[in-house]
This record gives sequence, C-alpha cells and structure tokens, in this order.
Amino acid sequence: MVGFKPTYGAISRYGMIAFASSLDQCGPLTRDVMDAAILLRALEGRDPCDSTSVGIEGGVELPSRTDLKGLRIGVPRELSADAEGIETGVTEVFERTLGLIADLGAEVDECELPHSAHGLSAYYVLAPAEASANLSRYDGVRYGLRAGSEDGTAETALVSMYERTRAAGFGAEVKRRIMLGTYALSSGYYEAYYGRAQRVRTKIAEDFAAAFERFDYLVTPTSPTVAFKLGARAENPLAMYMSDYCTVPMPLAGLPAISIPAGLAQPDGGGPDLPVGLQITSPAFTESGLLGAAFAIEGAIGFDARPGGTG
Amino acid sequence: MALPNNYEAVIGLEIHVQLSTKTKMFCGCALSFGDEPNVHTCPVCLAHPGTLPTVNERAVRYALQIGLALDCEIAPRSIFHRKSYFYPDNPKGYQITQYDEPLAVNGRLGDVRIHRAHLEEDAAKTIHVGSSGRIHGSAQSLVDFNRGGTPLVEIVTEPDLKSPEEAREWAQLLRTTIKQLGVSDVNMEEGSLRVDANVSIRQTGASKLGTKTELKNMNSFRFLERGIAAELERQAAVLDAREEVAQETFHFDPRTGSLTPLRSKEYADDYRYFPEPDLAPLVSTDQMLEEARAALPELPANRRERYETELGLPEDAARQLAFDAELADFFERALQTADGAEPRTIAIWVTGELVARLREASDGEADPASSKVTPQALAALAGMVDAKQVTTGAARQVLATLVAEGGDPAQIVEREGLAQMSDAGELEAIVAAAIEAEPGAAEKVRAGNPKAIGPIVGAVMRETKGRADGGEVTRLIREKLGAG
Repeated sequence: MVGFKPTYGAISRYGMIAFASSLDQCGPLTRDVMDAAILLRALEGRDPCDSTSVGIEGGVELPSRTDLKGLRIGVPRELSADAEGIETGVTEVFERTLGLIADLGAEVDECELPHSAHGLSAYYVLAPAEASANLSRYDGVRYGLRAGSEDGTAETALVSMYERTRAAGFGAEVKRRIMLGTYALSSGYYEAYYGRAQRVRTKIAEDFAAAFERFDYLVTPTSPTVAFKLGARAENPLAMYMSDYCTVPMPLAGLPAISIPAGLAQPDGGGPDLPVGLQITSPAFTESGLLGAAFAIEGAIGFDARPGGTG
Repeated sequence: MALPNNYEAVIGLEIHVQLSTKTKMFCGCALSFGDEPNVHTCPVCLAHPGTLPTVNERAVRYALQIGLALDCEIAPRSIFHRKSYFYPDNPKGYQITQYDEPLAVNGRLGDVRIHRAHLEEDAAKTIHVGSSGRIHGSAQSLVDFNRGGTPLVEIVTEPDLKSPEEAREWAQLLRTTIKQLGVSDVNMEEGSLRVDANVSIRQTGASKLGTKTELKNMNSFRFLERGIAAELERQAAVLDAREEVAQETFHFDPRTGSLTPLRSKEYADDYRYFPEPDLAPLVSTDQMLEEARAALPELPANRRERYETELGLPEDAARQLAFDAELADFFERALQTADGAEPRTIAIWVTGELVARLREASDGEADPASSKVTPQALAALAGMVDAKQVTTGAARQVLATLVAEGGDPAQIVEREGLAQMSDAGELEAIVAAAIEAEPGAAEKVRAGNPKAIGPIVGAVMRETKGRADGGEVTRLIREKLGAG
C-alpha cells in the first residue's frame, strides 16, 4: 500500500471532516506510486472554499524515472537509526533499501534534524488542541446524535444535553484528545503547551529547510516498528502515538511525504514477517519530483509480498 | 441621580457594529433583519462538518474605514482567533474573532482614546420562550441563525469617559461617524449598533481603578445613560456600606430600568483562544488602505470645522449638527432648498426650536426625518424670518403647526394671519390706543422710567397677536411718549 501526504495547501480541505486544521491534508492511498500520482493530479488545485489551499504550481507530472542519478538523498539519524523504539528488523530493511537507492545512482549521506525528536510531543499538543475546537460543533443542537437531557431549568437542561450527547457520541481516543487539547489551551497553560509546541514546530521546519539545502530528498522508515496487531496498543495510547514518530515532523513542517513498501521484517518479539515502509519527503510543492524518486525506488525494491505469507 | 462628590466615575465602552455588507462574514448568505427565521443559512454558517470559512473582502474594507475614521494605527498583518464556548447561538462551538493581533489599535475619536477595533462574526439569535425573555426560567429556547455570521466590528475604548451623559454623547458621536462612513445601519433598536459599558468608581483623586462591572443590553442612547447612572449609584452605595464591588456582568431591563446579574459565577469564562488555522492572516495592501482612505466621507470633526468657518455657524449649533447625523442630514437638505435664508438662521432654527419641539412631541427623540416638518418648510420659514415677513414669535407658532400637522409655512402664515405688520399706520393706531389704555405706565415712561414700558408693549402684542416686531413697537411707543 502506498500512502501519499501532499504539501499543506496542495488539496482543498473543503468537504473533509476537520481534525487538526493546520495539519490536515487529504491524500491518496493506492496500490502503487503511479496511481498516487494520477489521483494527486486530479485532487490538487486552489479552491475558493478553502482559504489555505493554493494547489501545486505547474501541476503534477506522472512519474517515469528509473534511476536516481544526480540526486542527493539525506538520511536523518534522528528518524532512523536513532529513532526511539526502532526495531532491528525495520533497521535491516531500511539499510538494505539505502543500498538500493545508492545503486540507482543517488548520493546517500547522513543528515540531521535536531528537533525532530520533539515532533511527536508538539504534534500531540497541537493536533488535540485544534481537534478540541473542531469537534465542538458536534453538540447535539443542529444535527447528528442528541441525547436526552436531565430535568431542571432550561440552562441546566442545555448543559446536561451537551454533556450526555458528547459522552455518548465520542469514542475513548477522541475524548482523550478533546481533553488533552482543552487542557493545553486553558487559560494559564496556553504558553506552556500550545505556545511552546508552535515554537517546536517552527524549529522543525527550519531543520528541514537547512537539510534541503544539502539534499533533494530525505528518507526514513515510515514507522519504528512493523505493523502491530489490531487493538494491541488500544490500552496504551502512548505506545500507539509512538508509531507516528517518523511521520509527524513532515505535516508539522507542511511538507509532502510518501510511504512505499520496502520489504518484510520480523517484529522484535518474534512472529511472522510483516511489511516495513520507506518514507520519502521533499521540499514543499515538489510533488512531481518526489513521486518520480519514489517511482524509481519502488521499481528497484520490486515489493510483491501478499498478506497471509503466500507472497 | 448624580454620583456623590467624593466618588468619580471611570467608564469605557465596548461597541459592536454590524457591517452592512451584502453577505455574511465567512459565507455567502445574505444579511437580513426581521425575515422568517433560519432562511439565510448555509452549511458554512450552520457549521456542518467539512465546511470552512472564507473572509468577506468587503467587510475587511469596511473595517479598515472604521479604523481610519477612528484615527487608529492599522496593523500591517492581523490574524483571526477561535474563541471557544458552548451555547446554541454559536454553531461551531467557537466564534471567529480577533484577539492579540487586531486590525486596528491606538485610535481616538473626540476626547476618547480607542484601544482597538477588530473584525468578528455575530452570534445567532436565541429566543427564550417564557417569562423573562432570558434563559433562566424559560420553557423553551429557539435559535434563529439568520443573524449568525453577520460581520461585526468591535470597538473598545480606553476608560476615558467620566459621566453617563458623556458616555451617551460620545456614543452618539461614534454612531454619527460610522453612519457617515456608510458601512453600517447603526440602529440601536435593531441591534446593528450595540453598546456595552464597563463601569467603575473610585474615590475622587485616587489613582487606582476600582473593580469594574459590565453592563449589557442598553438598546438606546437614553438607556445607555440610564443604565450607567443606575450602576454608578449602586456601586457608590456598595462602597458607602464599606463593601466591595464584585466583578459582574449586568443585564439592563429597558422595561424597568433595572440591572440584573447576567452570568452565574459557576461557569468561569475560559475561551481557550488560539489562532484560527482555517484562515490566512489579513494583510492590508497599500492599495486597500489608499482606497479606504479615499472612501472616507466628511467626518463629524471636519464637518463642525466647516460649519463654523465656511457657513459661519455658532459653535454650539455647529457641534450639535455635526455630531448628530440625522440632524445634519436635515440641515444640509434644508440648506440646499433655502431661497434667501441664511445658513446661520436655518441652523439656529433646526438645533434650537425644531429639536425642542420634536423632543416634546416624541418622548425625547428628535429625528426630524421622521417628523412632519420637511427641510423645505424649515428653510422657507427661516427665509421668512430673515426677510422680516414674520416675527420670531409668529415663526414659533408656525413651527408648532408644522410639527403637529406639516404643511407649507407661507400658507400657515396666510391662514392664521401671522404676517408681520408692514403697514406703519395700522401699528401706530394700535400703539396710540395702547398708550390710552395704560395711562399710569405712560406717565412713568414720560417721567423717565423706561422699564415701565412693559404693560404698553404687552397690550400692543395682544392686539397684534404677535404679528408686530417687538423692537419696532418699543421704538414707536417711546417716540409717542417723547422718551426717545
């Protein structure tokens, strides 16, 4: 499965249920890079209904390259070898893929994104903060679920209608994020959480800008671990959040990123081999080049595994 | 209801002005007043999932004009924030407003400094069915989203006002200023102009401000003055009883003139402001600023200046006209139709006699546009006074008729026989008769007491029913009595 997240502003968010408005960007999930490019070409563009949309200047070229000659590829240590909780099998697949990239003619070198280790913390302040406001509209007044209110005065009935409706309608993870975000925005805490997270976000964007002075693309594993079993981390939200470790710095910086299958690896605790993803990222609005590089790497990897161990 | 001398009042105002754009602040719905509920709504202003706001450019231009008219610094870049609270009038669960980076700051209008002026969206209208019209004790609440999303400019003053009268006068000046910009209907009864007051008192001469309270729902200038006066009195009584003023918000009830606390303290406000991620920052280009500047009409302060220097109006009349949009409109129209009347005469009759008569006739309100007196009629009457066709006294009678039933002053003068006596012979005969009728007074005047002339003048005036000019009558009596 190929996942593509375009540059913030490439595609209109109008019509998409808002979660974290400054991070939200829809993108295609496809079988391969070519399909992602075809869909992106159709999806991108300025929309007068979304003031933050600008589209991709010059449109999107369909990918065709088969080598990476003349390209400089950076490997941020913080999001690969030094990533918190990275599994041995993931590192092995990633290293092997770096070899393939070099074989395609790219110049591969280490680079630094010093603040990216704080990306997850910043993300889990900013995203819940925005989500807490975005989800306020589900209040039972105009549409959707409305739970009955307790008896009482009009005012207490209104408050209890809100409380019951939102208690019944939202799931545990959503409630957790609403509470986190509400707390982070509360009077007296704003600067310590939201304000600080915004500054981290700026630093992360600056790190990327510096890295892109030396490199055309950066590559990392998509996640520090192979896929975990459905529901395995439901009881431990922090472990769940950790799976976003390598992928949150890009949306924080508004950058495009693509994840393609890179191979199979055994989880640290043992068990059957599971897919490992390669993430490639590039400067804002360079989608055509990014898709081209991903297309070449996808061809070199030749991933053809299928679920159920039959591949 | 004056504040006791040992206290002084510190008053600031917060004004919400509904802009008269065609469409709402963040969507394409038409603005309306008094239409059937919930007909001017769309997925955006009802906060349906997946919708996004887009800024109304005209509203930004109007807000720039207000900022400039209030002599504010216009921010090169301003941003919107989300202000979160749960209430049915607020469909998104947050209001889009401006917070720490507003469009305009540090202005001045008249003697009052402007703290800031910013753009935001209006809430929907809630109608509480039942006793008080408020949510407490109501059986049912209804929401009309027609108003939700109307563009508002919020103007916050520094606490520079010192009395309820000053607050009312200044609010009227602000209203006139904005009305002249043509960016709002500024109608307090319809809610397109809403004035809240922050009120505190302190010992006269003290430097520390007292605890302030906020007053809402004063939907006329008189209520604004009355509400502030009542609150000042209440605070003085609290301090006199050696108690402390609590920070509260009060709701003014126009029917009773009383103030009741608006919010229960259990829900301390925490609006969780943060920058609105759905909207880009507002950056006013030089061209937008130039256009806004060019679109500024003559503002009250400049108009007063012109009235004094170019039209030669007395200072009081110039100020009264310039600071009252309706009055000034009426005056300007009268001026246009004036045939021979002096601007000064017209101004004095508009600001003096006309305003007084209208206030008598309609409980303190003096909008000449909604009276029976046309600008043409007033100008014609002033022209007759200037040409000495009627005396001042007779003109007053004509005006009373105009206020009561309208009409043409020349015809009223004709019909009621109020024309000034121009036949010297007729007047002389009446004077002679009056001297005979008041022999005692005549004797005193002959003996050199000019003040004794009163009863004789009175007799002439009675006989002529005010048609004679007082000065002329006095001159004739003295001549006849040889008293020069």
